[in-house]
Amino acid sequence: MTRPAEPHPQPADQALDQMLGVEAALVPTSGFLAAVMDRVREEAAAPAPIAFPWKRILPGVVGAAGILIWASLHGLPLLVAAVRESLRAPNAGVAQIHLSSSASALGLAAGVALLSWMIVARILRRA
Amino acid sequence: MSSPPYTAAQLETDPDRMTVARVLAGEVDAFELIVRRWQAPLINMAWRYCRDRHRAEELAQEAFVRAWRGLASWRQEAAFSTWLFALAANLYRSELKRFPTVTVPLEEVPEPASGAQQHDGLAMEQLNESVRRAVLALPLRYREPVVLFYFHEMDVEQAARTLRMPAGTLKARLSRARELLRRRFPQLGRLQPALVPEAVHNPLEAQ
Repeated sequence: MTRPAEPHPQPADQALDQMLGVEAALVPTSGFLAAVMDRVREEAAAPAPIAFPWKRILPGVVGAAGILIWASLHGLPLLVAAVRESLRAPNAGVAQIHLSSSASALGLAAGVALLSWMIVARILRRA
Repeated sequence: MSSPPYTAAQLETDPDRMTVARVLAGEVDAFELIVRRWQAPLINMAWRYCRDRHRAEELAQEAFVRAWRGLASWRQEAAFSTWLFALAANLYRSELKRFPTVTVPLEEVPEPASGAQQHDGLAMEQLNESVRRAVLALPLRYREPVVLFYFHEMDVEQAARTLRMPAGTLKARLSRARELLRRRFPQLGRLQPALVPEAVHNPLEAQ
């Protein structure tokens, strides 16, 4: 199976082939086989890993995703509309009302999302 | 673990396939046959990566444990040895990235004996050792092709399969690695091949 890497190797490459191609062989130590098999048997005897608790986590994940979707669908357009309104008519009073209502909606959404996240994290820690 | 598809003929002709089938069927002790058969190559391969005997055995042990865990993922199209060597190379590479073996930069690898002493056997041994140390000092992308090319007895295809890279890429990296070594050791070009001492014997003979 031994063959040169190139059709016409340089003398330096031939020297490298001779130097690196053959090495003194290491013989495994007497306990190597036993050590490997001990670890393998240990692994084989170990109980199967606990499955990820998807069922317990799913409601929290779905809830958080729903809130995020709701916030992006309703909160963001409200905010954009309010900003646009304030730019169009610099009537600070009206714009302020829009902005404050949007901001509170967003704040509520963010708060609920955070709460959902905390619940999921807690469930995960328990699992 | 679920049993992979294989024919009776394949089981008869390929001892590894047969052993793996037994292990996957739940016979844990059959894995010992695999360890017995491949322990020397895996330790010697690890040795070429780190040049530390103790660490080589640790790495090889970890490779066998990983092989045990992933035995069912061996797709039977390739030889078992190809799968095992690729798994081991992957592990050795990542472990040596996490905890690098102590090496000096290529340009700081100690100079071997002077040219006037080249005919001296001891000086040749020193050059030999310096070159091997210099291989460890090569950047990983060049070091690994060199390590595996010589481990696989200069078989480009097999080394490329172990590294899971095209043979052309391996050849290019090998060529660049040799260029770096030639530049570091210009005296290599002046050596008579016969003067290079033969090593004791090939690692794969220990199987």
